[in-house]
Amino acid sequence: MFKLTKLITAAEGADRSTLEAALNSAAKANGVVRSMLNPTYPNVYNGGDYIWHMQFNDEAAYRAWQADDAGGKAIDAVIADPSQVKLAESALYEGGRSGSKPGGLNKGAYRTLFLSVNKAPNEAAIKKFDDETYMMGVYIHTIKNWQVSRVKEASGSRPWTHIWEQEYEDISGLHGAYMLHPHHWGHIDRWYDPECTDYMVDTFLCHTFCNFDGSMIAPKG
Amino acid sequence: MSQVEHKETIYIQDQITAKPGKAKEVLAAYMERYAPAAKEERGMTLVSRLITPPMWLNDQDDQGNTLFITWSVQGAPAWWNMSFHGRRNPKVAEFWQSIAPLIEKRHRCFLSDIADVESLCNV
Repeated sequence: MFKLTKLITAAEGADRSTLEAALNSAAKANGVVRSMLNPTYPNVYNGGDYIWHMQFNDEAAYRAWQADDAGGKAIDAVIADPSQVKLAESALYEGGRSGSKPGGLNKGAYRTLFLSVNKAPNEAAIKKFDDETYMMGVYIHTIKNWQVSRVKEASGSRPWTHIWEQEYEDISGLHGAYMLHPHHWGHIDRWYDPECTDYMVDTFLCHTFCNFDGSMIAPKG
Repeated sequence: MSQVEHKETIYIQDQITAKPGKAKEVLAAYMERYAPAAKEERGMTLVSRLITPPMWLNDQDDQGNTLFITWSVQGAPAWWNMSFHGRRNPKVAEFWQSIAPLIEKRHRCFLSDIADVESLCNV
């Protein structure tokens, strides 16, 4: 799947229903095969007011949608309107390595992390980071569906390089096991920690989560 | 965060290989400019300061000592508290930059007693 995710912060005083209608309308344009627009939970970090996520069969389908007056062009106009949108963090990416645990979780809490690897010494380090990030889903039992992807085009606060998506039965799986498991703090966090010599991820992150109804990660049935 | 009790001791170990003859200076800088905030602001407890080889290698040598400085915190939430405070305090990054000319290499790792692995992973 080819994916587009935008973390949208509404302008102060914006008519939210108008904004939501515009986003939902663009998600119905030709080429979109799966989409989600949901308000973020409280306590997200640089996470915006909405997670808007869309999927296309391939990059060509995305490019056609982007050129469509009812699709990408309409949304570009909305995002450029300061009376509606204060900030949009955006990432376009081919879905990367993914995993799913048995049970077919299709409803719960969706979390995505926008990050920028901007201090990597070489490609081998980035590949190791990719692989270790994928393994979080294997080790941490509350992560039911997961995917780590490299970004093709980005805009917003940073040149985002990676998107790390997970789905949980509920938000406690993120705030609990995900944060407490030693694979996180004792192993993979060294890439994010300026005190560690493997540090290579910009400390400015977008950590955001919302409800989902219909997986955005598991293979489309 | 989980409401469970976090009884496991987590160790934070800095392995610092000094340039020849610089280990004393590295240790002094660490204890004077890093350790106080680690204890008072980040909740870290100093466990041990070890050195290999157990003598001060001087600047006529072709290698320097390696220091193993180990701290502890109790449980994963305390680990995150320690880490977040470090990231928010620019003096931490400045300290590591300041001693870079004195060291050949360094590595930080996180450890636990093997007996605690099962409970640490049971979250």
